[in-house]
Amino acid sequence: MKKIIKSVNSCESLKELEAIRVSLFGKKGYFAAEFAKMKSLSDEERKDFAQNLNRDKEDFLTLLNNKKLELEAEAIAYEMKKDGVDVTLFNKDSNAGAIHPVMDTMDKIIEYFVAMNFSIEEGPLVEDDFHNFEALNLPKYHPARDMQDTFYFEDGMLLRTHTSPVQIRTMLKQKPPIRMICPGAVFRRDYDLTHTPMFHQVEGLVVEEAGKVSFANLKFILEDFLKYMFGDVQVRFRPSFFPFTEPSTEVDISCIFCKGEGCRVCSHTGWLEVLGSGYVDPNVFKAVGYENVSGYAFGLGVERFAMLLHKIPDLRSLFEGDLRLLEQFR
Amino acid sequence: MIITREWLKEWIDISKISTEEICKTLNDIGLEVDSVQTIRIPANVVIGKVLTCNKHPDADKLNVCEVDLGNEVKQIVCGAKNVAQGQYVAVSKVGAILPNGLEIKEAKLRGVASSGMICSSSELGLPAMEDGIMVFDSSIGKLVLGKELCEYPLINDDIIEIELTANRGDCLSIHGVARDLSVPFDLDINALEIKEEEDNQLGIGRVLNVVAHEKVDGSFLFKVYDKKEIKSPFLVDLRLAFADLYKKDPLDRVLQYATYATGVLLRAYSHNCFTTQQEKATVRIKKHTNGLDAVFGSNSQMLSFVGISQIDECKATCEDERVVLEANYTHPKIISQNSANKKIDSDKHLYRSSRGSEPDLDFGMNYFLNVLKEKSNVMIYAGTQQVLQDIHETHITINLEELALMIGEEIDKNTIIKILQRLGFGVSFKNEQNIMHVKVPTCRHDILNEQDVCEEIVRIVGIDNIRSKPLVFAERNKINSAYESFKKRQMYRYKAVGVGFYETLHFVFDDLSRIEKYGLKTVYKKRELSNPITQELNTLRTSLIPNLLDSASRNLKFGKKSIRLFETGIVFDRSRDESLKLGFIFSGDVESEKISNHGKPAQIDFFTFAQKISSIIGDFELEKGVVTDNLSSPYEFARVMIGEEEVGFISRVHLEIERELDLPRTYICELDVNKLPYGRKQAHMYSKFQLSSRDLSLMVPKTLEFGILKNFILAQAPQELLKIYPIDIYESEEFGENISLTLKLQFQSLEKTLEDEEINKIIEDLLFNIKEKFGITIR
Repeated sequence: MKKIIKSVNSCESLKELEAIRVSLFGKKGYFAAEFAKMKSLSDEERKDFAQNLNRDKEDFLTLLNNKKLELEAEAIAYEMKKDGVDVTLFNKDSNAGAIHPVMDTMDKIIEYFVAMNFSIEEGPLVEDDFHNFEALNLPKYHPARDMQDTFYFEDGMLLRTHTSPVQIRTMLKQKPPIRMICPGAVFRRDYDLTHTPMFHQVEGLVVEEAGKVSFANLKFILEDFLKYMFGDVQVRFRPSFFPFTEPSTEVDISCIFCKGEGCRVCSHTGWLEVLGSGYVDPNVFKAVGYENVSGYAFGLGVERFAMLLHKIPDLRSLFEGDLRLLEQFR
Repeated sequence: MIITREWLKEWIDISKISTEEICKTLNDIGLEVDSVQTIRIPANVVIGKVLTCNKHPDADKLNVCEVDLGNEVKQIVCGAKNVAQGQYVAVSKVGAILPNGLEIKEAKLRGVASSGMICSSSELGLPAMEDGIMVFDSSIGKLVLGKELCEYPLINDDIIEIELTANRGDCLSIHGVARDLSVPFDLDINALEIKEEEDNQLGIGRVLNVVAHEKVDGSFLFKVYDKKEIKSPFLVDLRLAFADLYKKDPLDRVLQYATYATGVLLRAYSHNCFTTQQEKATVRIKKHTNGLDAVFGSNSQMLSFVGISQIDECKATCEDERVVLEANYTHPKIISQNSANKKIDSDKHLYRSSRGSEPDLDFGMNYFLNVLKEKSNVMIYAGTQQVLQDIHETHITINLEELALMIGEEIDKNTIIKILQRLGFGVSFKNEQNIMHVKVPTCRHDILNEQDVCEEIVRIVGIDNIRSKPLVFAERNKINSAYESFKKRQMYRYKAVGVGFYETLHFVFDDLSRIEKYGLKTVYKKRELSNPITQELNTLRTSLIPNLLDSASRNLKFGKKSIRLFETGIVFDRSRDESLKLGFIFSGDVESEKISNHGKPAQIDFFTFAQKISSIIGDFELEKGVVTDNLSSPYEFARVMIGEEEVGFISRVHLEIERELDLPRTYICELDVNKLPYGRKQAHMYSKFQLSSRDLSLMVPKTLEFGILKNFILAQAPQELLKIYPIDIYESEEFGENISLTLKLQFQSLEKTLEDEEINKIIEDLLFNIKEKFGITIR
């Protein structure tokens, strides 16, 4: 018996194991022979004999079964091993693409305002003087027009210098209450290290009945938005001037690189200017024929946000399809 | 605009307020601080007096000076041309370390001992002024020989550069900034000290007569002086240099200084320009044909456009014996309207006049005369000649309740009154306690309505001090077509990225000569850009492809081998109408080098590229098309069809362009985003029975397009033939003009599992039909 147990334990293949099983349980096997012996025994003896034999049979079955499971598992492991690979041979230089950081930033900005129940509005890139300037309280002689060097066409049309004309178009098309953003490309005749002739803005406008919208409401949404975009930053409001808002404010965040200590990016001021905004000037409402309304507006440069958020050093590289930059955003 | 701490002190007492605090406050009230520079003269630099000044015996350009330093006299060799006996100068004593790191030591220059150095302004870290050494006068304080220069606060100033918004013409002067700062600091503004005119002076009427046409818009004030000697105080020179306004002529310097300090526009004319023979001059002020006020001299010569420019020949200098001084003011709106888009030469006055110069002419003129008289010797004629217009006063009525709604919180009424009064507004209440009447100060042209006044209050209170409040608004569905278009575009962008393309952004501009060469459409001449920024960006793009080709070529130069780019962007048609396109470029290797391709990745080919596009936009058919530009190869060009609609093209780049740009095998695709599917798809009935397939190898003429064969088969076969697609092509010489094309055919019925006999019957019919039609046989 011990010999058989030993041979089961040292068995190396399912085939060998099957041979052992046949030698034990086959028609001519050990147990068949042993049970045959019972015929010649007395009733007394037979009972004991049968009991022992059945116990042995059970033990062997268990032994064989366990060994079988073991060998099967080994066989599967062997198969898998054969197909195994050195995972470190993986070339991470994959074939994936990437979303452009400016467009990604734009998507994030849009997501925030959509979640705040703003609608998205669109307008043409080629605009006329009325929508781009006149209706925005920027009459022809206004010195603030200098701030925006404009591309003109032979027929007097122009490339929009900001997304603000979409405010005018939307107000002319819809009735208050209005709660909109306009994302899109804008154009200024300026091309150097920190300026490109095309860049992107997201502009926002909220108009409700008179007395409903306050400057404090503007503060709330911009603080909340900037914290959504930049995380735990301090937000500072500085009075400023835009022809289409009054009061106007420029919004700074504490420098995200030096935490307000002062560094090269923030020109050692500890603050980064990120937004312009204000309470809509009554002349703008007048231009679109709105009466008894109140509202706020804001605008931001998407490239500026993207460069700050992703630490992109060079503005121009954003428009050159430069894979050395883009591959980093996989 | 540059201001300095000490200069501000002429008007407000900020001695107890730190420069840091001043800068913070400037930012808070809307005068954005760009930079702060601190001037500190190093130790051991003292005031000295040149006692004697003699030529160096061995050097033409050097002087040997005896300099009195109070408790000692030193011999110093000085190379400056302007050094002279009697001057008060800055002396760096032995041991001084100058800002550039130079340490002053005992020295011998050409054999003559020199203990110290007489300094120029730049050697001490001050801005450059006159060539040569600085010569002090008492304008910087009492000159005490041997006293350290770092103890003179007027020299050791803090220079603050602020950025002014276009509406704040009132802050284009030191006085204006001080006036604004006085409000948050709650300080009084010093009045200008007006010196009594001396008795027995000759009256101005003897030498000047002013004739103004009645339609003139501006206000004018004239004075005349006779010169004995004109000198500008040292402090004036220094501060002009701080503000980067230093001028050669001392009279010009005092004029610039007075305008910069007060905001009043000042000009000086040579008296001769207004005379013919007589002693008495006549100034004529008339409207020029272009609508601007102009000053005319003798022989009707035009001498200046008011608030804009002055001809050089009549500008008075320190040499002129008799000078006519003019202070003027015109409302900025008149200046802007009349000067806009007219090519008139202008000087620095236009910047001020178009934003609103200070209307208080007496103030500017008196300030100028005070400064002039400090160091100059002049005889000023008594009285003035004036042309004055009524300056329009703006009155605004403000409801304090509305004001509170605008701001979002209530500001204490007394605080409001105090702020406005400090800003120079007249404030009054009549019957109702909530209705405030304000009179706007004349220098604030920018304040026209209630919201403008609100801004004044808000900026002084500090926007940061207003509590933020969320806006309560009514529910409203904001999902519109622009939102859907954004989501659609986003979906395609993310799919493109998933297939391995990189998103790019390019300018909507293009190079006209390039797109003409590529045979692309161009915008009509009469709708073309009239002021492009560069030659390369001189027109609008009519396709996304040229910019993508450019980027591919650039990336190739950076050593990239597999270039996959896309862009969604606006392109223009000939009439300049806009449409949104989705463009792709795939250049070079289909994937990176790796073990699976044994380091030799295949180059992109037509079908792999089309497959990738299909992974992005879904199912489409490709049809042959005719190339209309020079961009695409005519042999690998397809129209992309979704249903019956053509949505764009897929092609290989023309070999000539590939070669010109040094590109490897390159494929392009441009699609019309509006024609791409987005939104609900409908499911149709599908069979629950077994799918069977058969492979069929056919001998097909080389000239036969597969598309024609396929369409024929699909039209002939019963609906049980579900799908048919090519899986292999085999070419052999023995086939002659034919190729062996293997097709896979899939069969399925909606009603039952098809029997082999049924399928065989369909194939049999099919083979019969194509033999009839095309002469095609089974291989």
